[in-house]
Amino acid sequence: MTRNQIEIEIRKSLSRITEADIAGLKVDEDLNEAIGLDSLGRLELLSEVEDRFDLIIDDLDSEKASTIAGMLEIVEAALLPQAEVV
Amino acid sequence: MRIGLIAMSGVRVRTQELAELGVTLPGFVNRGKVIASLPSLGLLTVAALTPPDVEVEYLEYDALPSEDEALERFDLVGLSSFTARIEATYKLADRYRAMGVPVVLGGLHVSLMPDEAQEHADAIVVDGAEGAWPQLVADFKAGRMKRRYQGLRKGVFTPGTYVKPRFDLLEGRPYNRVTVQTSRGCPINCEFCAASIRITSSFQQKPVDLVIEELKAATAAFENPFVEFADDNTFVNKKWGKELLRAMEPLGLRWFTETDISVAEDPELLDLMARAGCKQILIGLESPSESGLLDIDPHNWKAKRFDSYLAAISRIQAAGITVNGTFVLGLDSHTTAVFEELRDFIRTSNLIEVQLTVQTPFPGTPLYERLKRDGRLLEERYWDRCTLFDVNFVPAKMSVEELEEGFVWLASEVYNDREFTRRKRHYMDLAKARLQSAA
Repeated sequence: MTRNQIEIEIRKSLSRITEADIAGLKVDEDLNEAIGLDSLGRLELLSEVEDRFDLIIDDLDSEKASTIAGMLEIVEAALLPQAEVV
Repeated sequence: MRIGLIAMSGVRVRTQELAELGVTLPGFVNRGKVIASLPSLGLLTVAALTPPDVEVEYLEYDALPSEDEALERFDLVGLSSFTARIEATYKLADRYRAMGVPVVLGGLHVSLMPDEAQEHADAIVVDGAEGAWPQLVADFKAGRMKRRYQGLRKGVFTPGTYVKPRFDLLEGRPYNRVTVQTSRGCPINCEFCAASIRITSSFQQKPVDLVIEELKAATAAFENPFVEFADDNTFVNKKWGKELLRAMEPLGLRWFTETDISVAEDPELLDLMARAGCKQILIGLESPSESGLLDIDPHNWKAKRFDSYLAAISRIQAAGITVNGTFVLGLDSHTTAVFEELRDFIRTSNLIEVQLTVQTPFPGTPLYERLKRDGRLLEERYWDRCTLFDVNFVPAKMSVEELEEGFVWLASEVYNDREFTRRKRHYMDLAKARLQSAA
């Protein structure tokens, strides 16, 4: 799975949870400031991402999940044992 | 004429070991930090009660110049503070008065300790600004401001008295939470409660249409604001609550409030809360046993509901609303066994968020009067230690040291990484179940 594909899936999850318009959201934009995703919302995002990628995320540091870039890092780390990210 | 209204923000834990814990265990002082960073709804209301020909400026204490720099001059200054910040408030009031700027003091502590506050003010306002502030401003303009003004203890939300707080004064400021009040008081009336119940003669509720108007005004100034209801118990009246929630749903807000465990007894109410954007409710659970709850309120309302605690927490959280369970340690029935008992209760309950506090005899409360009468207060004046984390009294069934040490031990047990992760994982499981059922 490519980084781009992972980002697309993360955006889908984000969109489903927040119902916000995320088309113009940059990868390093703070999700709380941009679309109001607070610490509990970030946990919901991690939960949704687990389901979408069918994996278990051990690193539940929801602060890291405060940007799309941070989410990419979390998902890539969790995917590593399963498949190589290219 | 120009009035400066200054909100006293920020609280610091005084006991060294606890202060260090606050740094090393995130979550331990989270709620306190949130409260300390909220805008002062009381002063926004005072601003709204000020006649339109008077200029008003809203300031935060932390943004003021330091002690060796000059303060901005106003014709009149109004300060509002809670107990933990009252000594700093008095100091600031003294600085302004030394500059020749008259000072008015108000807020909960001033209402409960008026004679003490009077020593640092040209005038004080007790029991809220409604019914007092407009007259005070008129008297000040006429050069005959009195020493004390009495606010209304009832009818504050009725036409002629009610005003919409000046939320516009917050525009451009970095708040991410805005406060709106829907009620004053709480019929449960716990002995230690130092909230709005102390300035109201009965439970007062705002009409739904006024709450909705305020919500629209409060949230207009911010992008993605989170609403914090400044209530002690929002859903006392379930019928009113449902009417409010139905009117709130189209606003698409996210919000937090404080209420009691009985919301879990009404599935329709819970469903409406979730649909209206309720993300978390804070519930004063107080103690992990029925015996610990006896006599904390006059009708043993909480003790009678203890048996339903676990099922109620589970029901509320399953509805998509997290529970922030607050507990008070050092109640008269508590022995040193309470620390382990509470740790086990928290684990069993799967509470997503927990707030541990030490019983605090805030001046003016029935608890304060009782402990003072019994000679159990550690100091005569300890207001800056009213942080909810510092011990200021002799517990009934353990020593002060045992309470302090037990509190630190319990905080380490409840707020460590392992427990945090466990609670987060539980929250994620609930979120998954909800998403799956929605799909």
